This record gives sequence, structure tokens and C-alpha cells, in this order.
Amino acid sequence: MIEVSGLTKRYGEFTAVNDLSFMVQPGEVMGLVGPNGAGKTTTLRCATGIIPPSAGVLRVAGIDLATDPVAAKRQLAFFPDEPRLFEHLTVRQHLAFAAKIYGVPSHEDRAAALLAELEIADKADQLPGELSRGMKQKLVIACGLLHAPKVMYFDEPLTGLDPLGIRRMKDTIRRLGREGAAIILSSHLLSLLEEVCTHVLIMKQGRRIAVGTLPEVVAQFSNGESGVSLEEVFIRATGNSET
Amino acid sequence: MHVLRALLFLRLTTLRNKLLGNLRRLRQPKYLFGAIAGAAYFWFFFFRHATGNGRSGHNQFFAAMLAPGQIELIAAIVLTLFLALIWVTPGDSPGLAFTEAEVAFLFPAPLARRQLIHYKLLDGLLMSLLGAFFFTLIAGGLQTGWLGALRKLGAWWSLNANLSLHQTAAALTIARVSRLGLRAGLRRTLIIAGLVLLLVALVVVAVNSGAASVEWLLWPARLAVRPFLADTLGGYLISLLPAFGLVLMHYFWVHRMESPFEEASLALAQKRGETIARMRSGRGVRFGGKAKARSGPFRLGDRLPVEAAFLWKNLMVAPPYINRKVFLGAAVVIYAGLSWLKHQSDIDGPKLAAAAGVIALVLLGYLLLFGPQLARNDLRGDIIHADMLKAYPLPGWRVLLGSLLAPTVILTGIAWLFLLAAGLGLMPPPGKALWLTPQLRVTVGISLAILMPALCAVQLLVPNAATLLFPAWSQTSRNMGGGMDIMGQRLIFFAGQFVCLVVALLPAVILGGGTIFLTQWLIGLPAAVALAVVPVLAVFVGEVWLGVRLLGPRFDRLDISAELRP
Repeated sequence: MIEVSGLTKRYGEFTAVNDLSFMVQPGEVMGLVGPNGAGKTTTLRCATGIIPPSAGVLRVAGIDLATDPVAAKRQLAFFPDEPRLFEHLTVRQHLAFAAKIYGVPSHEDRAAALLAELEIADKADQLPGELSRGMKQKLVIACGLLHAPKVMYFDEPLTGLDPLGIRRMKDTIRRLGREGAAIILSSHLLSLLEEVCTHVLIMKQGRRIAVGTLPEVVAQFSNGESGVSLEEVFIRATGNSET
Repeated sequence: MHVLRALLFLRLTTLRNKLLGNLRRLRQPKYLFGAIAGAAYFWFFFFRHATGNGRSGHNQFFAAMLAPGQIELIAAIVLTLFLALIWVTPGDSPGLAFTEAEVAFLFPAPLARRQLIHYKLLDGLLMSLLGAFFFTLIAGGLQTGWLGALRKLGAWWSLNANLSLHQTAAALTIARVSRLGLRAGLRRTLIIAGLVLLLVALVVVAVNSGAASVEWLLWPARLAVRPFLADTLGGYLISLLPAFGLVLMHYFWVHRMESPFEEASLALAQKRGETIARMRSGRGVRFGGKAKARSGPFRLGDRLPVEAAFLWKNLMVAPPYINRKVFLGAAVVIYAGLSWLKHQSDIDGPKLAAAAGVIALVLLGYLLLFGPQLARNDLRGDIIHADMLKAYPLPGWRVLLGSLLAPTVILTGIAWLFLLAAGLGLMPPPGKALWLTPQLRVTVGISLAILMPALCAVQLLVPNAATLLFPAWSQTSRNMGGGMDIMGQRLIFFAGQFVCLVVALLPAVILGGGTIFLTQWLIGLPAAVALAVVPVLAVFVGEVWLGVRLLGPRFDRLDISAELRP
């Protein structure tokens, strides 16, 4: 479970995220959406403990990220928009490194299963430079799933993937949700949110505009009309801001 | 402890994979030849004397000039000033610099902030050791035998580690102060004011009580440099202990501080990631932050030939400080400065001006030799866009000619400045070299200035020809990182450039020399020099023209994707 209460992040006089609160239960996939500069990435970075918030409480699987960051981080995985890998470590060695960092004992069997599941087992001894963008993304996912996290954050997970890769990524996120993970997914692709997410959070200028299940948010901005698309809802909610 | 194990795993695996990768690529001749050249270079310059004994040449030189105590004092003062500079100009470093991959893997990982600090500090110590290997090598450490090399290694490691940890501590302390709301400008002013006050206080104390009373300030720096100056092994070991004690103190200081560094580290990692991406895509390193839009160097009128468009574009790629105003300003400063200096006999002005002239001539030589390797805003910078260039409705030779123009203009401009300084500063001593008349000096200066654009173009043609004839070599030299093979490739390139320069200069020298020799009896030396410009210029222009016309078809046939395939 992810609990965010009163999250505020300031950079000097600029407030990137302002008093944001929401909750994601196990099994829920929440889509985080908003125009550029809405504060999505900052929210994700704070929620993963990458940067400290200026104010507010963040709990991961019930553990306060501020008071016990190590225990909280043990429960989460963050998948950035760009796969950032160590240039001179092979696929298998990346998993070994992640296992050491997360303290996963005898990780080899689980790593092998993940590589097989993500269809990169044949690339196990290759370096990142020899992998396609999609393969790198899969490696990042394998590293993130190695310690069986209960909470996951995806930042623009479809960036740079081919159609087959997109299909596989959507299936993976849906499956992880079904298996009980609490997931936050940040994306500009509204179609992805419609297909994968159970809930949606719309942000603008660091503030929450709407939050709830997809039908709830659509209903909030449909003005009684039927068949209003999420795209239309987004435009109404954010006031024609650029996505 | 699992952080330490993870760090060791990461570093050792990286090192092993890197070495294996470098060894594997030796199967390709271009890397094999590079490795042979690199190994030969290392052998002749560093390892050949490894079995030697005694002090290195540098040490002997300094030992002859200064007493050991004086050397230690000077080194300690320099180091203390450097440390003060770290506090005054800390830059934008957050203190702990992580790579993008480290940020992605370690920041969301279940690690406490202190563990991350441990990780980075230990990493820094490892890097300091690698740096110490390098410094030991280039400082001729092996010439003092293996034991001497080990001693130097220890000394360099302790110095590197102390400097690196002090820099980290300063950056973290400043970051902590900044979090209190102190702006960078005010913070810097306060630090400078504090240092000035300290300096004034020290001077007052020194004047009143003698210099010895303020020497305690140099004490930490003295500890750090002493291992370099110890004469005996016992003295060395005794001096090494406090130096490493300083390292431990620094480590403890940084580790206890636990200052927030994540945001600044994240920003720096992104910046470094962008820089690396730029270098890998062949766009080079950009100095001075993000590129800014600026007006063109000249009006790209319709009547100008198409080559001018390449000149226009490539001049805008050059750093912003390379422009007409800076060039003219530098010329005015050189002219005014040296003209004034020549008349200041009370401070030995003529001698200083002559020294400046000699330095300018030496720099001109370096410019002609190394300039083409630095000014790369030509086909070498554009080769990754070769497919786009080939799509233009232009023959290859025009693309090549256009590409040569910008670096030619830049190098010529700098060369003219050096010529101006040399011409103004160098004057024969009174009563000597009477044949070197003012008339002859002016003629030689103007003749060289006229020849300079063509000479620079000849020089630039060589690396551009290499890029067209061996594109894979030139690209791997830039993008494949370090290694002995890559260094060897660069050496081979440089040697090739030197040989080509000699070959290109030979006919010009023969013709120019012949013209001067044959005509000076008839028209006098200055006029003969001026006349020699004609055949020399004709040779240079002919060489550039021939080279461009011969290489043009090569550019037309170039399939860059096939050439760069591993």
C-alpha cells in the first residue's frame, strides 16, 4: 500500500508539489497524469525516497519513508523512464548486483526465472551496449522485481518500446497488479491509463485536480454527458494545458 | 557490510569486463595496431627505466635548487592555497557525484544515507588509488626502481585521497550552509571575506611575532606533502602515517556530516549523462552550460557560394568566445601591451617583450602541430551526419571544402595573434643581427600572415582525409573511451599527421627557399621574401585543391553505416 499525505516539495521559492494526498491499495494500479511540469516526476522521486520531501508523510507498505527509509525501500521498486545501466556489467551481473544491494539470498534461481519470464535469458551474458532499448527496459524490470516488491513505481514505462514491447509491458503491469502489488504509473499516454489502470490521479501545477477510479474521475468531468473519453476529461481537468 | 561487498563486486566486475572487452577487440587490426603503438609508447617513456635506481631527474633538479625544508614549505603553501580555493569556488558539485546508473539502482534501494556516503567515499578512495598509479607513472616514478615507485604510489594516494575527501567535505558543508537559506553569491562573499580577514590577521601576527608564529597554518598541508620528500625508507613510513591519519580524519568528517546530497547528486548525474551522450554521439563536450541561440557570424547572403553555409554553420558550433570582437580585442591588447612594455626599461621591458615574442612563436608552432586536433568543427564533427550531408545536392568535394573553412578561419585568427605578438616582441639586440632590418621583419610577418590560411587548410586536410579514408578509426578514437589501444590509435594518427605535414611542406619549402636564394641578389632580401610568397602559396593552395578534389569522390561513395559496423 502507498499512502501519501500532505506531500509538498519546494525548490527554493518554487513549489513543485503542493500538499498532495492520495492512497493506492494493494492490487490497484494508479495512473499519474498531468501536463508537463505538473510535478509527476517529483512526486515519484519523493515517493521512492530518491529525494526528500519538504513536508508531508509518505508510507510504503505501512512503513514511514522518513523514519525508516531502509525498511520502506525494501518494499518498493522504481522503474525510471530511461533504463540507466552500468556499462560494463552484463545482464546476469546486474541482477547479482541488485541482489547484493537488496540482500536477496541465493538469487540465481529467481533471476533465471525472471530472465526467462521476460524473454531475455539468452542475453544473460551480454553487456547493455549490446541490448536493444526494450531489452534494457526488461533488464531494469528484472532487477526491480528480484526482491519481490509490494509497491512499484513506473515512470513513462512505454517510452522507446516497439509494439510488441508495449504489449508485453502492459501485460506485465496488469499481472503485477493482479498479483497484489500497489502500483503507480506515470504517463502521458492516456490510452495506456485506460487499458491498465484501475485508478487515476490528475495533477496540475503540483496540485491534485482529481483522484479516484476511472469511472469516478470521468463522471466528475463529464458534466452529465455520456461516452466522454479520458482524453476529453484530461483536457477539461487541466484546462487545455500542454501534455 | 553488504554495501562494501556490493561496491567491490561492482568495481571488480566492471574492471574485469572492461579488460576482457579491450582484449576481445584486439581481434580487429585497428585496435591491435593501436595497442602495439600504445604499448611501445609506454615501454619507451615509462617502463624502460623501471630497473633504474636513484632519484628522478625532477627531484634532482629541485634538490639542486632548493633545500628540502624550502621545498616542503613551498609545496605546503601551494597546497594550502589550493584548499582555500576549494572553499571559495566549490563549483556545482554536490560533493558526492553518482552516475546515472548508481542513482537509478542505489537511491531507491534499501540503503541508509550513511551507507550511500560510505559507498561513495570508498569508491573515491579506490579512484584515488587509480589516480595515484597514473601520477606515479607520468611523474617518472618507475625511474626510481620498483621500491621507489611504491613509495611514490603511497605518497600520491594519500595526497589524492586527502584532496578528494577535502573537496567532498567542503561541498557538503557548503550545501548544508546553503540549506539555511544563504545564497551562493552571499555565501562566497562571506567565505572570501573570512579568508581575507584570516590572511590579514596572519600577516599582522607574522609581522609582530615572526613568520614562524603562523606556520602552524601550514601544518596539515605539510603532513600531506611530507611522504614525497622523505629521504629514507624509515622516514617515509613515519611521514606516511600522519598523512593517512589525515585521510581517516577527512573520512570521519564527511561520514559524520550526513548532509543531504540527493537532489544535487541527481542533477549532476543527469548533467554528466547528457555530456556522455553528447560525446558518444560525436558532438563533443560543451563548455559553459547549455547552448544558447546566437546570431550568425555573418550574413548568409544569396550571392555567397554554398561553402559559406558550412563556414557559417560550423562557426556557430564553435565556442561563443571565438568571435570577431574577441579576436580584435585580443589584437588591440597585444599591440598596446607589447608596445608599452618595450619602452619600460626600468622593469626590463624589452627583455620581457622579447620573451613574450619567443613564447608566441613557440605557441604558433604548437598551434600548427596540435591545432587541427583541437579545432574539429569540420567533417570530423559532421561525419555522424554523413547520410544527411550526402543527401544535399552537392558534390563531395564542395562539402569537404566547405567543412574545412571554419577551423581554418579559427586557427588562422589565433595564428595571426601569435604572429603579431612575435613580430612586436622579437627585436634583435642593439648592434647584433643587423641584417634583420625592420623592413625584413615586417615583410616576413606579413608573408607568414598571408600564407597562414592556406597552411592551416593543408594541416586540416590531413585529419579530414583520415576521417574519410578510415572513418571507423577516427570514430572509435573518439567514442570507445580509454585504453592502451585507443591511446595508440591517437599516437598513430598524430604520427601520420606529422609525416603528412612534412611531405606537404617540402615542395613549398624548396620552391620558396629557391626563390629567395635566386632573387635576393637582384631585388634584395625583403623583396625576395615577399616574392617567395607566390610559389609557396601556389603550392599550398594547389595541395588543398588537389586533396579536396581527390577526396570528394571518396565522400560521395562513403557508406558510414557500413564503415562503423563493429
